Amino acid sequence: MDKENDTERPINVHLSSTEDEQLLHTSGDIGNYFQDEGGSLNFFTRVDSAEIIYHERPKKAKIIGNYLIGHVLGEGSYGKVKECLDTESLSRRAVKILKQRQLKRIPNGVSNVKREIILLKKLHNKHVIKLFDVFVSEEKQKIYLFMEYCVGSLQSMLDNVESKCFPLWQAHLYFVQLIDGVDYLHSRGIVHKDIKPPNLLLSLDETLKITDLGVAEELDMYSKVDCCSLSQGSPAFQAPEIADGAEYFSAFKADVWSCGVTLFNITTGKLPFMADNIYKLFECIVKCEYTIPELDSPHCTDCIKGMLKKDSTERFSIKDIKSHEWYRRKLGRSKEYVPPPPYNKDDMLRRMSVIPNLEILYMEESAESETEVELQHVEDYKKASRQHSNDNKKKGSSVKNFSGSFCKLS
Amino acid sequence: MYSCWNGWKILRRINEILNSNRQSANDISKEEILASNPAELCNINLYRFGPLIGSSCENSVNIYAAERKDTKKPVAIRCVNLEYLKIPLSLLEDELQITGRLHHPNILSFLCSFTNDSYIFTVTNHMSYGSCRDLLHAHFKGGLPEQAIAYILKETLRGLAYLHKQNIVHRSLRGSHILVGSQGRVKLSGLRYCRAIDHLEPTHLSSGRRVIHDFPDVGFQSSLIWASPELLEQNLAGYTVKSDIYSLGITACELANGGPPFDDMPKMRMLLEKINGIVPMLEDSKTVPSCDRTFSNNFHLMVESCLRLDAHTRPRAVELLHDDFFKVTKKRSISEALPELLLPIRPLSRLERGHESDYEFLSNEMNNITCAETIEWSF
Repeated sequence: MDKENDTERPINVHLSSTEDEQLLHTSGDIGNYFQDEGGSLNFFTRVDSAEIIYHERPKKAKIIGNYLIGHVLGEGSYGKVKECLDTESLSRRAVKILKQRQLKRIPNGVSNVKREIILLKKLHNKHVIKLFDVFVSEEKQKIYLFMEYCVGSLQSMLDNVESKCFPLWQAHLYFVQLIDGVDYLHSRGIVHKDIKPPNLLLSLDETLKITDLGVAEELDMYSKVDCCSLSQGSPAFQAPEIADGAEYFSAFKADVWSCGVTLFNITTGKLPFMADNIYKLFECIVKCEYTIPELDSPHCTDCIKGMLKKDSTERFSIKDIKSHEWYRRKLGRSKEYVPPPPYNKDDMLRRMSVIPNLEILYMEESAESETEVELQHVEDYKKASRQHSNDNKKKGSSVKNFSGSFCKLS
Repeated sequence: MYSCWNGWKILRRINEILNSNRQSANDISKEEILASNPAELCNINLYRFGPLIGSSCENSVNIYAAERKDTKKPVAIRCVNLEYLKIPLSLLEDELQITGRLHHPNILSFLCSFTNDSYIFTVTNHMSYGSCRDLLHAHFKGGLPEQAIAYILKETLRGLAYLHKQNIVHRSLRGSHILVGSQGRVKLSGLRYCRAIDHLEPTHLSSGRRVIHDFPDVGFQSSLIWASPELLEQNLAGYTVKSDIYSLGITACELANGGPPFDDMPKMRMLLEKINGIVPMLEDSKTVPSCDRTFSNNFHLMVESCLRLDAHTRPRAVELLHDDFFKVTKKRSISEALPELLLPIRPLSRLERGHESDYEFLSNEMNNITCAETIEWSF
């Protein structure tokens, strides 16, 4: 276990990387330092950095809680999203790793994450991303959110094609699901406030999942109006009343506007409002002047117009959209299709990226002892996460269930 | 687990499903059971409860042997305690709905289902030999005789072919879900994880085939050993009804070897081996020199064809029915041969004395359950 703890500290990352065959590449002198435990700090002053950087780190299967971690799926300002595998149910998951240090730098970062977790835990819908587990590692200053595995966002799919837009049938397929998801959120009194293609993910069976509820807001259960006063969403997708700086605005209608801009974007490949800076952009939005490029479907154009009405009382409600011809009429699949972007060219099917790690865990004879350590680690995490059954104040457990840990923060 | 209001809503929902099932069952009215009105059967006091014969889902689902008080007909009753249900309710809803639609001699149908207190009771025919797993446990620790396997698997395949014809994937085909009754009746159960694929559209990446991507991630742990590599892989290719054929291959190994392959290793290792194309085999003198059993060549070939990594090259269920392996079953009828092959195990025909119990026994049990979590009210 001692060795394990060592590698957790960032300073010793290279130390672990020089075990085994890596050691051969460095000079004998350096090797001696590793036998000498006290000398690890000197190491950095004496080794040419090129030598370390260009060595690949030895691959090691990493297990957090009961999840085996795989490759990186994406990166954001808060940290990374990695693929992972539930070691018990064998289901594929994704983990969002948030670095607390980076979170503190983002305005409202910590409170947004807290809100997202609280909201996601009580939402259960096909079109809203599911949150399975939350772990907090105080040692590493990281928060791990284990969620449904998705193949990518609508944005990442659009980025991959020249036209930057979907064929109409595909746009319709996603739009219908988006509206269903938003309808569910609204029925639970939740306003998303940041609907845009990067926040709409697709699962393996092309089910759309709304994600990133960081700036979402839960309305008061007993209030009869959906008033809202704050918005932190992306500027290009904001409704005129928000751009105008209105004190209060109808929150549900603001989401409808963002859905409208999203539909505009995925069918035409363009944004209705664009400007060099945010002031000019807001000016554009408030004027509400835009032109819809010609689309094959007059229904779609009509629907966009209805959703992008400047006056929020004239704007479509979710109910209006659901009875609109564009929502109701199903379009047949054509040959034109924008696929989810592959990780690399050989892997159109999105195969599991944890398989190499599994091989490390089970196939290499030398890894046998390591495996044991890792599995012991799992035990530790598991004990820590079972908050209700046992006290989580157990000494040495570095990871705690989210609610326990954040209670302290708040 | 559920608050009072929630529980009430759930019961109403279940009852709605049950009522609609009952109506559809009346429409068909071909089966002998349906000749009598099932609504009459939906009374817990009609049955005398016997011993517990099985349980699943972490003991939140119990199966009791029972008999009808009026006709003395043996039945099995499954009791699902909604208060302590460990699997999502939607699975049970799906099971009730799908099973209500299926009518085939090789599929265990529900005689009736009804709710009482916080329980859902499901009455089925009593299968006197129990499941194939029970057979292995009771006597055939080293595996069933090859002929018995042929008879059992052939009947299983008939059920499977029927499911596949309806575009339904069983997904949890395994020894414990194949039940054997007196006179060699073999029925497929465990339809909880069934999934219909007829409503799905062929996607572009599956080259125009209808595929499923859904991974049963709750309560499915025990069935993972039988799951096909493509189901476990959870990638964009998805899986089809051929996934069940792989499970059939694993089940064949289970019945022949006395236990399923991959049973001795961690789940993740099993996943790795399956994806890497390691094919389990029948253990006999041809594959394991120390073994003194010998299976026929046809059996080996049949298992090999089921366990192919490439799902498209696996035979379909209807094709498998004509496999050479099943020729041995043509000599004698199953009702004559199977009980003989299964000796010394004899079917459990009557409720054994000393185990008799009544519904009151159950209600006592219910009273004994203490609240696991104290409910706090805050206003």
